[in-house]
Amino acid sequence: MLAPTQLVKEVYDYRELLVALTYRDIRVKYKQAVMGFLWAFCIPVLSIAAGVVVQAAMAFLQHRSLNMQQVGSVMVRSMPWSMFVGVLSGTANGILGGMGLASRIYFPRQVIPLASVLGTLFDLSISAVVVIVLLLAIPDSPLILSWNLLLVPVFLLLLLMMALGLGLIFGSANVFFRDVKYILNVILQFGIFFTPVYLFIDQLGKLGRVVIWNPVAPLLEGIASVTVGRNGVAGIESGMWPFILYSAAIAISVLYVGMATFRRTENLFAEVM
Amino acid sequence: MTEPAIQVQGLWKKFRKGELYDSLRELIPALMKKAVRGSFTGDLGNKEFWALADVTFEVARGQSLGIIGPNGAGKSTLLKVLSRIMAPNRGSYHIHGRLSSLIEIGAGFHGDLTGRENIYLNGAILGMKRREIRAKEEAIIEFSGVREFIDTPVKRYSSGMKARLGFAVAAHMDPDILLIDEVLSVGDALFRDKCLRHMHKLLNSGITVIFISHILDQVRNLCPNTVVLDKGRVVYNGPTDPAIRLYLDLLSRQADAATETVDAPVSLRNIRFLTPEGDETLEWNVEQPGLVEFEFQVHRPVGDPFVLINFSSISGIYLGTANSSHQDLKLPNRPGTCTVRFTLDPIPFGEGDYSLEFKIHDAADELRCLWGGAQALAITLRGPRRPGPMVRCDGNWTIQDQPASTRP
Repeated sequence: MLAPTQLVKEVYDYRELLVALTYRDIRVKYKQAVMGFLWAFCIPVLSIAAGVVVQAAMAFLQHRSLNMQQVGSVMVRSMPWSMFVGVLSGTANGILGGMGLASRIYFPRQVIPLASVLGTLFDLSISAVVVIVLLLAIPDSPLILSWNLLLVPVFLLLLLMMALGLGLIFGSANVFFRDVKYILNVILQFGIFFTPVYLFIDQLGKLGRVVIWNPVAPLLEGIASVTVGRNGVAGIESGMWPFILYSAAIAISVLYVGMATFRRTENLFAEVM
Repeated sequence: MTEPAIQVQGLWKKFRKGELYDSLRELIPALMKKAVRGSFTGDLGNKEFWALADVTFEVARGQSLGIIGPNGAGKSTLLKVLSRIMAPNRGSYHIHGRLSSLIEIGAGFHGDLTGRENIYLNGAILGMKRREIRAKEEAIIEFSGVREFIDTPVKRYSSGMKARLGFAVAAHMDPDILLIDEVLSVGDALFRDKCLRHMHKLLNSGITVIFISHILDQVRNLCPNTVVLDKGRVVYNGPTDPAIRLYLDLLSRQADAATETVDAPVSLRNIRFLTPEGDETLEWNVEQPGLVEFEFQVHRPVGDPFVLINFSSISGIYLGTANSSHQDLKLPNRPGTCTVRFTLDPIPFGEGDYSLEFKIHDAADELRCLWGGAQALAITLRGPRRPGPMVRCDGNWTIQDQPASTRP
């Protein structure tokens, strides 16, 4: 394995390529769509709407009214979850796509997953703006302004690391076994049932005690806790910290394993393609 | 500056034959089998082979080296290793200077982007800086000759236009070392000519080039020295002319091996090219007759066989056919063997390399091919003139009237 400084230096030397590939991905994605960039606004709104419907249904079944705190909670959870799914599948599929190029011309291979991540993050920054505007605009804004908000970027970074690490593992495997793509799709489709995105841990009852071990769950719960909080109080409850540390440990290990996998297999890519 | 631009030391590269396990359904049984049989020992697995075996050579700064060899000799693999796309299994190489490779032109072109956007994308992929591309954008568009469509998505381009744009971008890098694999055959004849002239210009500017081509005249024109690869090994490294002869010889021998296996009622064997003196050769002099001798074998009784020899240029352009039936030559149609000689007189082609394809047809049923050599044989034509035209258009030039004298 190359030294990390070497990895970074290679990417820096090829930064123009990184920019060009990212630009291509973004440009191509919106080029032939009539609504163009509007999609980047519509998709987060639609996914929030789906969550609000689920929460409204829950409220209806429990004969209570939907409160703004729950709506806000759906908002702050759906964006990070889309980021997780987007980065994971973008990286996993991007590696196979990029390898076609890598088997024809030399450039540092780590540029491929990085370009996928940057492309996905571009979409997500639009989603983030949508979410922030919505949070501030809805009546009785559930957003609680406090120093706790500084934890949001930390949680997002951990999620990003986990998604990238998993993406590298699945993506490297996908180059050799095309089955992986389908397996990943199934995992991500079922994943939402085991992740507190539209339904929260405390709404899941007994199942909640299982779901909290999903390493994504503590981070989503954490983001919700520090932004919209519970009963008007923002902050991480002390019982949550061990789970958050558990998630952080998983995120770091997954990213390490992902990078090692990618590094070990990248030399074989050109021969498999 | 005596340090060579490219040094290759004992390079080995292993490849697998057959399919890789592409899905888990195939992998799991394969792994089980492996576990039962135990993993293989030794350097080469049962389905593996050396695509490059102990390849060593050097290219001095400012030199151009040709690489030729039959299909599958490892030429492209070598360039892929040198351009860092693949890592060698053993051996090392040193490259001194900025390297660019024209292995696949238009790499990374995206159909939905316009020609101009693709120039920037492709340029970045080739390692150019944005500033550098901007400075050369005009020159690239001019060179490609697709200015009219430069803001049209590339998916609406013809394949020729795409290739020209790709080549134009690649040609405008300024590398110290350039690796070229079979790319000088894009576009129409006019564009090809432009590419070749551009290559000469690059060479004259002092860059180092490794050039792979099956178009032997291009190799002869661009490279004073050539390496011949066969089955991953360097079988020759030296001046280009002997290299080309050796390569053609290799091809002929392969063709011989291939014809042995054909199961047909008649066949040709021991095809040999002779000088007028009767010596075996791989080179005819254009000013003397060319002789072909072969054994004509009949294995089972046939109707009325006759032999065809198709002449083509080495790049595959069909030039003409010699037909034994045009001379009312009756070849035997009962089992047995006889030696047949054909004299091509005078040779109507210019200097260069040509390929001859041998076939036996049945006059009773002209379309029926009784036997066809799997691969063409190659012959080099030599003469006092410079290499050039494929077909000689010789004749007499005369002035029909006296020039009208111009008065002061």
